[in-house]
Amino acid sequence: MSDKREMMEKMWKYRKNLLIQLFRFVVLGLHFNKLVKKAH
Amino acid sequence: MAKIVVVGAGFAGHYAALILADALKGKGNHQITVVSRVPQFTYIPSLVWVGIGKMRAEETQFDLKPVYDKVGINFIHGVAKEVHPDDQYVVVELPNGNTEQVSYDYIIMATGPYLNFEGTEGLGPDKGFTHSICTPPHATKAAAAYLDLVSRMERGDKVKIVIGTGHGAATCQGAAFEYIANVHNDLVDRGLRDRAEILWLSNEPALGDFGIDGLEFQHAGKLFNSEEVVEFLFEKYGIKWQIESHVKKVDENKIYTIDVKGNENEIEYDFAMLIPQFKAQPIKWIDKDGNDITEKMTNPAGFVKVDAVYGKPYEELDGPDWPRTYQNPIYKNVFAAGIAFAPPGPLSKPQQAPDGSPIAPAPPRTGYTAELSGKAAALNIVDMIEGREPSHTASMAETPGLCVASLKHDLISGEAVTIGIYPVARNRAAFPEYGRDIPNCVAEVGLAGAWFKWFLHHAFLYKLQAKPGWKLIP
Repeated sequence: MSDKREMMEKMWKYRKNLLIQLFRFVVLGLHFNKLVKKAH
Repeated sequence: MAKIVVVGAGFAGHYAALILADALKGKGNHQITVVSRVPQFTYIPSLVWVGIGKMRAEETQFDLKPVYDKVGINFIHGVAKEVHPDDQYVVVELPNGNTEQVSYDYIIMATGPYLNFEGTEGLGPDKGFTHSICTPPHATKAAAAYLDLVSRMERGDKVKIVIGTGHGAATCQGAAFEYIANVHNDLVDRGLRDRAEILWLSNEPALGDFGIDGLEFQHAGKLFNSEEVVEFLFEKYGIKWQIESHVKKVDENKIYTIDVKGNENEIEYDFAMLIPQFKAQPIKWIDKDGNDITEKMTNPAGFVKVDAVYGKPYEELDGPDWPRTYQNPIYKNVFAAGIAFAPPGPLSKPQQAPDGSPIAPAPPRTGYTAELSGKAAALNIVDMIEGREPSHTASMAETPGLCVASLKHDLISGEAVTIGIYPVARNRAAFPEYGRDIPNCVAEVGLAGAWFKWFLHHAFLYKLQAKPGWKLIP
């Protein structure tokens, strides 16, 4: 299995893990906020 | 006193009107009028859930008039038929069949698309055989047909489902992608997935293109692209695909396609949701002598020309060619935003079948991108009213694309792809390697995305009803 495939499988495995997704919600929210600031 | 008319009340038009009302508040007796074919605003991104019966259409809508009454905007429920840019008025057909002339000093055309089902024989829920989730009535009808299909499957029938684009020049592949994923996951939850073959049928040159030439992003130091992610996802979901295809015709039982290599295919189906080609709303532009100058004001699809660089071949198009102020070059008091503005060209590689059928996804200019263009147009009008040159820009080559593609609507077991790219249109003048700022691009599958999607639904509906603090929501 390629590295990238393995990483996607890992993302898939944790896609509904509540703790990880809470963390990702914060990280992605901050990233969205950064991108929004570029537009305004 | 300035009279400003906004034609259309979707993301671009409605937001532009709110921005105008706010920016001109207390600065004189200016008059803002919105003309809209429908008396409601619809949060279109959530129609994907309406289309499988997980949400009622009313939950995606609110009445425009009470909002406009609150912020001092006039509202006319009617269809704009003609614009007279020399004499500065719009001819509006009212629901009772009468017409009204609405005069303006400045105008923003934000009409949204005309859904060109006629472009493909047999396409569409009204005169054809396929379904659509482009409007609340269409999505409601699609849900009823889908739930009928589910009943058949519960009785033991095996079915074929086709979802994607219904014309080689269609856009909004993202909405169809969300729909196919939601259908898959709904059937999994109902224990019926093994009774359906699901096919993704699209005009995209590659999986994950989405009409924006795909996207790249870094994850843990490795560079990924959307083609790899969508292929992975479709493999996990057991969804087959046929891309680079134009739909020539649909009948009661089959969808007839041709691809870029000239391969013709007849696809049997029990249920199909295919997005039509988007054209401009049929509005005539008439000069002071009564001449039809529509061809001068619009591109061949009818979208209004703005400050873009038109006429370049796809290979030469770059970021600086995309419009920045959304001002018409001939009539400086005319602006166009959202789907209504004419893009300088496609974002995705245009192709065609050997028989000449176009297989060229049109660039999406919806949602957040539409809002940004509407806001720029509105603030540029404020500039002009106050005696300045337009100074506000929102080029698709200088603004981010934010998209949360729902795969399953549930706050506990849901999933979505969270996508953030910068900029939307590749800009190799600014970012020579990929045309995008890769460290600022992200795509990720997970429950967090489902929370975002839910949050955005409520945040946008709150903001666009101009409720207290609405301006704090970007």
